[in-house]
This record gives sequence, structure tokens and C-alpha cells, in this order.
Amino acid sequence: MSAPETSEPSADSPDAGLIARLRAGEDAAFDELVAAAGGRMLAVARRMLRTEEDAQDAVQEAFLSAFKSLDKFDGRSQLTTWLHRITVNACLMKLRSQRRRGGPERQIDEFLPEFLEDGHQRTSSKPWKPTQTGGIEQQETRDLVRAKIDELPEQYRVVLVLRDIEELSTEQTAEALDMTVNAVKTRLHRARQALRGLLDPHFRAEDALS
Amino acid sequence: MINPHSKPYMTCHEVLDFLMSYIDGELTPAQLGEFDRHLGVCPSCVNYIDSYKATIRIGKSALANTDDSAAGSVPRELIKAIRAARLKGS
Repeated sequence: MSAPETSEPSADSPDAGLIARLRAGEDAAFDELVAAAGGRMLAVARRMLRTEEDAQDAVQEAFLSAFKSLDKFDGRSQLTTWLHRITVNACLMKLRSQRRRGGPERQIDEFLPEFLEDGHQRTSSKPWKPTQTGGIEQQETRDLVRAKIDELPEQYRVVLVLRDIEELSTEQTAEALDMTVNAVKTRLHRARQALRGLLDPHFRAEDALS
Repeated sequence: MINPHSKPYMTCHEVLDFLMSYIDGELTPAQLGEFDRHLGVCPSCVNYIDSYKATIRIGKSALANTDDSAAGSVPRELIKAIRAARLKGS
């Protein structure tokens, strides 16, 4: 996912004043940008990366990358949108370097539904408790879901986060990960199925008849 | 009595493989008809689809809440580190 190539924000843009001060090298403007956008960028990095240290590193790298690329910001998108893309890219770079260093991952197959030879599900799916699916209010439930997302193999987890949480389009996700659109769709579907399988024992209505 | 000439149903495996296309509205009317025909006789797949959709909602809610607590608060050390790295690089 690349930043836009052209360089002049519209004078009408709400970001135009700040951009002009940043381009003029005004120290206070940089601090203002970090204070205004840093929290949201850190939230994105925390969703994509597994440790607080990595998340803060990625945000620092994202800001430095943004400062260097200020001339490329064209004002067609909001400054926050542009910074969001740069943050996602910084997180992906970090994940790539970790993957090169990391050991073998668990296979996605162990989390996917199993079928009999005739194509029926090996184990019948039961309905979930409605109270658990309407909204996430309890910290315990949030922690459980986050832990299960973290159990997904990395290459599936990152597609799930980009598509379902960060709401990148399939095309944007494909570009960011250097994959085909069809490969993103397949990986997203498997990631959702795997997460469903991991959550099922916790959310299944045990006394369900069907 | 089973009619030997009736069209076979899609299998659960096929239904779950094409589930995302079903949810995204990407199936042709004919495929959609086959899908719905299967769901009419298979409560297990109906349950699966409901829980698949719930998974998307739950995952989103669980991580989106991170935003509420984090937005607007940048650790002081991080602000200092960003400032120092910028000044070092400029």
C-alpha cells in the first residue's frame, strides 16, 4: 500500500494549516501532530502487533516515515487516513521481520471445520448463546476474543485484522500484503472459520437441540 | 419416498467453502437457490453461518474497544522518542 504521489493539499483542507507548518519545520507542529494522531495510531499498532514494545516501535517508525514523506501528502485523503495507512505499513514491516526470525507456525487446518466423506460436517454446529453475540461489554469476554485472535497463525491473523477490524478493502489488503485479491479472500475466510472454531466452545449453547 | 431423479443437495462442505461469497452477495441466483435449498434442510449449517457472522461482529467489538481506551493517550516516553528521532534525522 503506497502513499499518494502528488504533493499539494487543497487550501480548503482542514489539515492544510498544520501541513504547511510541518513543511516549514515548525517543532510545535510536529508535537501537535503526535499528540493529535498518536493515540489512534498506537491503537492500530496494538491491534496488529502482539506486544506494547512492538506497537510503540511501529508508531515511532510510522511518524518518522510520515515526516520524511510530507511532500507526498496531497490532501486528497484526510491526514489521519494517510497516517493510518503509514501505520499499517510500519506494522506489516515489523511483522515481516519477525516472521523471518520466527519459528514454524501452527497450521490453520487444525482450526477449520472437518467433514465426512459424504461432505457432511463431522460435528454438528450448535447455535451460540445470543447474549454473547450481541455486544462485547465484559472485559473477560474481550480478553478471551483477543487471546483467540492471537492464537491464529500470523498470516491469517493479519488478514483478519486488516479486513475485519481496520476495514481495509480486499484490494487494499491485497496491495498491502502483496497478494492477489482471491488469495486475500481465501485467507480471510479461513481466518474467520478458524476464529469461529476457537470461540465455539466458549459461546456454544450447551443445551441446544439443533 | 425418495425421488431418484431429484437434484442432489449441495454438501455442507460446499456450503461452508462458499460461505463468504454467500454473505458478500456474490453468488449467482442459481447458486443462491442451491445454497438456500441446503439451508432449508440443514440446521447445522444454519447454526454455522449464524456463528460465523457473530464471529465477525465479536472480533470487531473486542478489538475496537481498544480504541476507546487508547485514543488520545500517547505515552510520554514515546512522544520524547519520536521527537528525539526526528531531530536526530533532520
